[in-house]
Amino acid sequence: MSLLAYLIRRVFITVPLLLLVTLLGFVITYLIPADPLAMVLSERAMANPQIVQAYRERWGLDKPPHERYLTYVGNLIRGDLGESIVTQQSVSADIARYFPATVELAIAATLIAVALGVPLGVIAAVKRETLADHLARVASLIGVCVPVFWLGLLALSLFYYRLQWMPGPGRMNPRMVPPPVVTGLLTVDSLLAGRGDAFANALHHLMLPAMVLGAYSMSLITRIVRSAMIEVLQQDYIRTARAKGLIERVVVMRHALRNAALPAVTAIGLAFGNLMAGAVMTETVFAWPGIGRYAVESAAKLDFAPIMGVTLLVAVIYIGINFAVDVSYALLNPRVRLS
Amino acid sequence: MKTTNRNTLFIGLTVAMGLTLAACAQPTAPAPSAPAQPAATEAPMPAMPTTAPAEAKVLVVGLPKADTRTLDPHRQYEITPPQIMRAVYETLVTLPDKGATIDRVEPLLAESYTISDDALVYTFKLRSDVKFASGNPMTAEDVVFSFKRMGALQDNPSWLYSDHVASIEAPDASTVKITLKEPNAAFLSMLVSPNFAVVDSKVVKGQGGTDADDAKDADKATDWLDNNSAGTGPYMIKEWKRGEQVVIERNPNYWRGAAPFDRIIFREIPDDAARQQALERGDIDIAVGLDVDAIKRLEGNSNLQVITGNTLDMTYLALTMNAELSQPLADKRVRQAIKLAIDYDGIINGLLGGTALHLPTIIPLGLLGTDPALAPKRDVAQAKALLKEAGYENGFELTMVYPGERKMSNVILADTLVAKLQEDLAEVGITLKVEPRDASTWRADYRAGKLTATIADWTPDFLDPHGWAPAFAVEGASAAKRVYYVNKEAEKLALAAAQITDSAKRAEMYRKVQEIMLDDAAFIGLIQPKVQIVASAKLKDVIYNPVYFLDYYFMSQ
Amino acid sequence: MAVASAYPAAPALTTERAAALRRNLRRLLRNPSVMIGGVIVLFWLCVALMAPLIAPYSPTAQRVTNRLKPPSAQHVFGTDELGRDILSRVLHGARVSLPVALAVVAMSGSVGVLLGAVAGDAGGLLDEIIMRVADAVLAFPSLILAIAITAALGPGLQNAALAIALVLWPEYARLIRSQVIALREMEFVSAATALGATRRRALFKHILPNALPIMLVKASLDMGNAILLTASLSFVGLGAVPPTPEWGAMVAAGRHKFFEWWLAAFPGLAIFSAVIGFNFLGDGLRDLLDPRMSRRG
Repeated sequence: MSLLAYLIRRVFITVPLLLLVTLLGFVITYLIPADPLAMVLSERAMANPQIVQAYRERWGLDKPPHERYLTYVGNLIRGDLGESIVTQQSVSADIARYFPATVELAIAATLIAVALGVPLGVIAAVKRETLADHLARVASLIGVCVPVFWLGLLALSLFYYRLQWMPGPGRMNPRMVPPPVVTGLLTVDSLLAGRGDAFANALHHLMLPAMVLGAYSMSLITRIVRSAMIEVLQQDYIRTARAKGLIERVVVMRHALRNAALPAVTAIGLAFGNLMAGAVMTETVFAWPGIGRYAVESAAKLDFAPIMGVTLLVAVIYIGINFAVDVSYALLNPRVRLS
Repeated sequence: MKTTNRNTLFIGLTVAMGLTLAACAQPTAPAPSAPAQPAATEAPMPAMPTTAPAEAKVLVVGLPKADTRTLDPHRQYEITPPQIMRAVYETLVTLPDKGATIDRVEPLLAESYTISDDALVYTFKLRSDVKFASGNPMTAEDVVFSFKRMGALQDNPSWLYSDHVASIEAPDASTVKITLKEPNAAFLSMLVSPNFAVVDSKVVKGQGGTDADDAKDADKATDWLDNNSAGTGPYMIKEWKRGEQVVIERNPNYWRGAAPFDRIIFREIPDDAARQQALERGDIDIAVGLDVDAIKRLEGNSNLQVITGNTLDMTYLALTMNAELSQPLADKRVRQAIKLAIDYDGIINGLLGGTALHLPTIIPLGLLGTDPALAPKRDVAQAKALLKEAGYENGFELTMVYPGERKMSNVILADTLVAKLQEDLAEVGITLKVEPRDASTWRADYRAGKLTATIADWTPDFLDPHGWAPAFAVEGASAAKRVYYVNKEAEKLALAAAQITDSAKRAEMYRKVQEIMLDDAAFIGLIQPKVQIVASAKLKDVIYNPVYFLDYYFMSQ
Repeated sequence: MAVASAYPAAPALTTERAAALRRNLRRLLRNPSVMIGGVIVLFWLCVALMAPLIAPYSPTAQRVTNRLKPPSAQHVFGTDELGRDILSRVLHGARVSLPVALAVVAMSGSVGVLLGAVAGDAGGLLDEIIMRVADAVLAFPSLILAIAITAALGPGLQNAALAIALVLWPEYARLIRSQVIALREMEFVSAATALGATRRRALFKHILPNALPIMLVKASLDMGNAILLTASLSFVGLGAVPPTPEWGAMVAAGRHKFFEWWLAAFPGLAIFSAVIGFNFLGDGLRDLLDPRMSRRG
């Protein structure tokens, strides 16, 4: 199948999928008797029919459900994710505000995961069935199984409260004047503004949550790099290379690793979905003002539009990354056929 | 009553002052804006000369998770905004003694005021020396615009205006005349609320604001007011990063003289322990919302002061009077027995370490007509006698549905309080069957009048007993209907007391209402928590008041 | 796939089967992953069964005078904010988390099997619809979707379990569907159906037993998944309602109390150990079923 046809097919499948999810979400929300107004209006205001009526109109709650859903979908198609009853802002604006923090955290976590996961996987593969291998396997199993919120709490408890090596929750020291917003990534913006102090502070705040969040991805990358390396190391050309008397390090680094890179890329893509899910928990624990925390807080307030907005955004990114992985796989390896 | 109430506050303040003096006595205090930071934990700060005159004076306030939905003074009605509103906007009248006195008001933007004898017409003479931060002078036109806008927006606080005001006019540039729909002596105290903030009508109109009847759709100023301000207050809103912080900056044109801080940052630190740690490290100067355990740990720290004040929050026990829900509870004697069985002292001193007042019934102490002496005392023998009289000598089983693991009045876990009540009632033979629910189900059921017995909170809307008495005493009113409370005498008094202006007479009527309600024992007051704020000892005049929380105008370093 | 190669064993004679079973059992017990996982899982199962007998205190009994006490001889894991014994709560927590996880796996498993079988058997539009819905669910990271669904349903352990089951069923459906399609093309089934055996019979007799081992692996891994997801939902306040001694909710209760580290540490350890137990078990079982996969461990 040609790349274009594949792309079109994916879009054709994805869009109805996303709509289906919004419909399900909407139906479920509608079936629940809880009144979102009770979450935002005070007792006195709830007792005033004029104010209640004004709110119903303002949020379209006076309209029949199918009409509300059609309005929602109509807006959605125009790229409008609706409005949050709690923040009274458009969900798109809210997400634009919170998203950079999540992106910064996710990138940092991925960098850490790759920086640790790839070498760990390589070592485990090269020293297969040795103590190092077993340790790497157990470590990666732990990374997959540990509840990320618990890991976050333990990390904060140890490195912030006891050892005082790391700063507390948040993205920057409250007294620090943040750099002007360009990208929304505090570290990058600090550098752009030439603010070394802000950069160091932002980076320091970023480290602990990024390590906690990166643990899962690291485990996944370790596992996949390990198995890919093992497969590659058994290939004929590696044997040939070894037979030619090349130093083991050269064999591993120059020949094997290059060929194991593809599965590693896949692993990073696969890890992304969990990275997003992990971000929800990590952001909650570290008071990180990202979309994950936004989603959780909206969920607690029965605020439909933001939950759906974040869910859809994450799904689109998730699908997009899987797609990019598929395509890059196909481009890099002609033997793989898209279907 | 008032005296006791204020005494506690003053004791707190005296302690605070003592600490302040001690802190000031240190000869080489570090530069105010360079808080002591553990060297290893933060990025190295740029080298700073020991005397840095140009360094900005910044105050950082650590808040728990903020519930702020908007910073538009005419829309906000959440817990966090008032202290920010107070620093930015002002009202016609305010609380005396820097906010420490709560049972009367004094003029602020008004120079003087008169109230007609029938409590129907309120006339305010405005000060002539007040300028907005924009430089525009404040006139009667601004006041009329502000109040009308607040009513017309049909938002959370709009009832304050629309339920009460019949008309508002400006006979001349310095006079505002408000005529009410019906006599209401409590209206003056409502004007203290930051919802009655006076905004710069020219600026707000320029940003799309309107006070017309269709303001709920036509007004477009909120987006601007969320990130800027148009008030007469000592500070101006500089930035609001949702979920992170609000920054306000000094208003150089402030009419009472410029405020001491260049900038105040209200920073959200949702994690209690992190907020405490930030305070100890000097990353923040004031920590709000720390729990009793944390404050106990901080008490020995000479760099810090603990400020205590009385809130107007309350937690009460609600017993239904509906015989269909509970046969025994429909009998007044049984409810009275429950009232006498509760170990109030054990709750306040044992569970809360003395950080609460014993609330007599449904009007918080400190307000007009309240008296701590009204509070019932525990009397197990009398309680048992009443139960015997009512035919429940062998006790009975009572189901209590309550919001599980919710902090009542933000100070005590519902479970703890309920467990204590269970223990106390067991002593008179009543078996309390406890059923924790999630907060939203519980709230819905309580509001619908489905619960036999529960514990609940009530937060103040304005500083007059009128904010409480009718809601609890009038048949079918928002609180009364939840327990099917009916008492015509209490109802009559609660309504009549708002229609006269004579404070002494009003006080007497509210006292009578409370006595009746104590006798009916459908609502049994439990606690009225004190608030504890921990601040750097270097700060002076950190004064709590239940409307604005903290007034940053008076605060200095 | 392991299943395809293992297939011909299914209709074999019973004696051969028993021998194979014994052989498999021996292999099973020699596998360290299975052993470790099995021991941990068995431990938690026993705890769940016997919690009321072995817990030193009631999980809900409060003693206000005894609140926030660090671990000691009386309270090995310390006490919480309401003076409840944390060890007892952790032990009773197994009676919450394991049944919930079991229910989730049973629900998602049976729904997945049913829908997968229907899809594979019916083909056409029905197949298309079912599999597209499955794709829709798989398009989301499971936790995010579970949060969205629970938020819509309202907080509570039952709703959380339902949401997690809704998130986990598609993989079972895919698995069974591919089995059904593969089997449909096999001659002897066509022959059997030609001889009058119903397709449902074929499903129960051939397809399910055949898919059972791999389903078992999936179920074991999903038990861990379900425990983790339930705890995560409870942690953000969408799962268990107090005073249920649910592990995630207990960790959440310790969130703001760093000086009382034992509040969060022990329940978290319980989640971690249970999840790792099921994962070891699942991984080990997979190694045995598919030797080629073991290298990927």
